[in-house]
Amino acid sequence: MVQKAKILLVDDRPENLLALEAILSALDQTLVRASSGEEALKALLTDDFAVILLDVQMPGMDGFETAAHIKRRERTRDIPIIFLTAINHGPHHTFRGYAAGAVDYISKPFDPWVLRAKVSVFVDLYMKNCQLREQASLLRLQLEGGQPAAGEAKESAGLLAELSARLAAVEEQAEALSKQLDESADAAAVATAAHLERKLTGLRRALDALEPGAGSGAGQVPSQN
Amino acid sequence: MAPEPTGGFHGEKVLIVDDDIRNVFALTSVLEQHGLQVLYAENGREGIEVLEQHDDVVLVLMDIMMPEMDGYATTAAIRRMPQFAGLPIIALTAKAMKGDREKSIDAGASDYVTKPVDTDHLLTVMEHWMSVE
Repeated sequence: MVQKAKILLVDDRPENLLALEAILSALDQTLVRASSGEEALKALLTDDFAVILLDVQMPGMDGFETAAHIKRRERTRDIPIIFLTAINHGPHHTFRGYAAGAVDYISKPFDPWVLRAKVSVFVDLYMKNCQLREQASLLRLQLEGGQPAAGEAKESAGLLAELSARLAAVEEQAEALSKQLDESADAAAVATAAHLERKLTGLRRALDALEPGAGSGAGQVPSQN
Repeated sequence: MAPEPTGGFHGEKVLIVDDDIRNVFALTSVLEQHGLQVLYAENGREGIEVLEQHDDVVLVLMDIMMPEMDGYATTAAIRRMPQFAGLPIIALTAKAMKGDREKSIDAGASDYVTKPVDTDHLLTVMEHWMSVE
């Protein structure tokens, strides 16, 4: 179940890609390199990524244009982007336009430790989201199964308990992650974590509604999303 | 996080053959939102390879202007393969080029849509050809 997350590295300079790979190899995830915005888009057409490190200054399609394409596609819109920028004159205004998405930036020359820490937060979030999605689909399967026959009741109670336990594990980890993030100034990561927590709350409510006896709580079946 | 299909499609697989990745990305985004699965190839040769590997592709969007093997040559090559004789191929042609339409139909395209693509029109054309069996 624990698959490696893919991290997309986009820079037109091979030496920069090499440096990024050296810094991030310690995370033990799959690193995919692209030497242009075009190559990055190609990679995004075929694979799902946990996070994208995107050089701003590239010939042809630059980092901002690449990001704009990524943000326009539903399937890639929510992938966090970390801009790598050498421009040190107030990058804040440039990023305002991306307020909705988890976008971050790091100025070159960057501190390898900081970069690795940031990326690893996004990888953690991605992994939790994957777990969450898997459990959500389990739940949905269960719901679609409709009313279990008397003989299946015991089995489904067991499944519910199993689901509840697994959800509890995710909740615990998400809480720990949020605590960890409280001390960081990484607004994008905090926003993504809050999003994750909201999803988790919804999932917990859905699960509670499934519990036998929860029916007396009156038809408070939460709407999905 | 698969987007909910909002159109009349239900996860059917289509192939885009186009060397302009910006185009492909934008088009893919629209098609995905309408519930299609999109494969992509950046030239004719690769397009044929993808078709051979995925026998569940139900429709091809073929850009005409491509370096080396262009859309006409690729369409003609696909039509020469018996298993793809009935596969709908929609040519994407430049508006200004009047002859493109006839040339693409001659090469074996089922239909054509002019660029820049009007997505509503494209979806209508695609739906039409996908309902023809």
